[in-house]
Amino acid sequence: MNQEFEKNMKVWRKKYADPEMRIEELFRNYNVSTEMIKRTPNLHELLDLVLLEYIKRLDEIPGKDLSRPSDSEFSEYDREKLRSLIMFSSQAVLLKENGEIFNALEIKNKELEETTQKLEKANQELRALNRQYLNMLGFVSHELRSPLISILGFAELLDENLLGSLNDEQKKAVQIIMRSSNNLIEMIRNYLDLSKIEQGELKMEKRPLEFVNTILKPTLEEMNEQFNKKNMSVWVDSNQEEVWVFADEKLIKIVLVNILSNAVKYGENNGEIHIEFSKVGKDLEMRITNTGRGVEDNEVNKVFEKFTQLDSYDTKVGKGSGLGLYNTKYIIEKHGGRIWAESQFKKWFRIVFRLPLLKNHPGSEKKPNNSKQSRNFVNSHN
Amino acid sequence: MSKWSELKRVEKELNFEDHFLDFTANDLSSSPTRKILIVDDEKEIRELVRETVMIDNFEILEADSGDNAYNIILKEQPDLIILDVKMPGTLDGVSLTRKLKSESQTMNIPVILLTAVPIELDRDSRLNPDAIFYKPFSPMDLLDRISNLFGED
Repeated sequence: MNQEFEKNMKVWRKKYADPEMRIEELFRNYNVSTEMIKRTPNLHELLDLVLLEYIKRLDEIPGKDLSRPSDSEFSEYDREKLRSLIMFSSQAVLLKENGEIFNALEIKNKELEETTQKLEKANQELRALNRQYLNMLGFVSHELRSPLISILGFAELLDENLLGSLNDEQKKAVQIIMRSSNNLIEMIRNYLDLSKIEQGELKMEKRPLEFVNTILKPTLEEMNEQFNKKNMSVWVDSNQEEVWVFADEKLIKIVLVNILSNAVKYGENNGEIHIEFSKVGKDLEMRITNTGRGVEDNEVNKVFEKFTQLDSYDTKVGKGSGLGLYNTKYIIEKHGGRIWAESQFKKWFRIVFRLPLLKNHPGSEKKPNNSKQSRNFVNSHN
Repeated sequence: MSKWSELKRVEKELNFEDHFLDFTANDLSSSPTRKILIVDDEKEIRELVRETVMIDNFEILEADSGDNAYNIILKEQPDLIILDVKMPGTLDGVSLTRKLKSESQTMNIPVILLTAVPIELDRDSRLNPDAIFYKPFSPMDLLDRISNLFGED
């Protein structure tokens, strides 16, 4: 191209020494170019030719601003023609540049596509691996459950002297077995939940759900034994008789069981668990507080992190899976809710969550009961 | 828990050398020994339930699947069935309970379900076990409940 350009330049200079002729030739060339547009199948070639014309003009009128030619050198007509040519040429330059950019983009696109395919493949492999891992986790956890339930049950039979009376040291040992088994069972429950949640096995089946009677009361009844074991009293405080949410029953139950198990595990013996719920704006707000050690300020929201064990937790309690509250947060956020923790170190620990309320529910025509009620579903002191 | 197991417990707590209550065990139980069928595919759970109910001197039958259980039930007519919910085979705990409660020769046998996950009873009124225990369950509570069902408290 360069050679051709040089050659053309030479011919052109020789041929059109007269500026007048140069302009004429210029226009002629311009016209030829438009014909060429129709003729030339190769766009790049055409663009190069047009560009060549433009550069020639630039070369021919050194020091002139071609976009604003002066009156002395060009007639009005020439000027208009020249302007058109320049515009056409600059369009051509742009087209050429665009063409190049387009080509470059196409190449990049192809590269990206390849990379995406590679990533997709890697991702699929990772997902398959994760599935295998979760399957195994689920399988192992499930297989561990029954033997552990058996260990725990036999330990309880021993502890109750039903298989012969134990001396104090034996009794202490049996109680340690029970505590450890309980911890393990809870861990396994969390691992099973996690493997189900992450495999999408626990698909959300949201439906209008009455929270107080369908979820809260049955859960408290099921967990009564756990409260009794630590001689904890459980208080439920609310001015709502029933609360309707749009949620998955099983998942919300997991949430409640996780938070309450945590409260039992890390709460103090003979302590209290307060459950408060109320309507805040368009949300149900639930506050579950247990008396006990609590956690230090800087660790409060670490409780939701996966596989986290806090430094300020009581080491005597034993380790958990570090998954219970992680699962809980995951579920609440999947429901469009929020969850956070509050604590006063060495005094109390609290989990607060909000779930969107159901807008139109079966009982919405009833007037809310405004009188503040304090109900005590479970009170182990009685 | 029955009065009998309560007595046994007291005896053991007091650490009596000569287990004098043993002599009167058969005299105390006026009716013939009750048969309890334990159905669970997990051996460990069967063992736990067996050892637990043996404290109250029941006769124990065992099955490791719902299908086996059904045959035993027809043949032996147990006084109580303790049934795991999740079992392999055509009859799991839920469908076996439904079947038993809908057939005239078995509908009066009390059924206790053992389950790890909550069962949706509300949506299925045909499923009416006499008690549900969530795993892990307390053996003591299970004994209590059995006594209740037999009307011995």
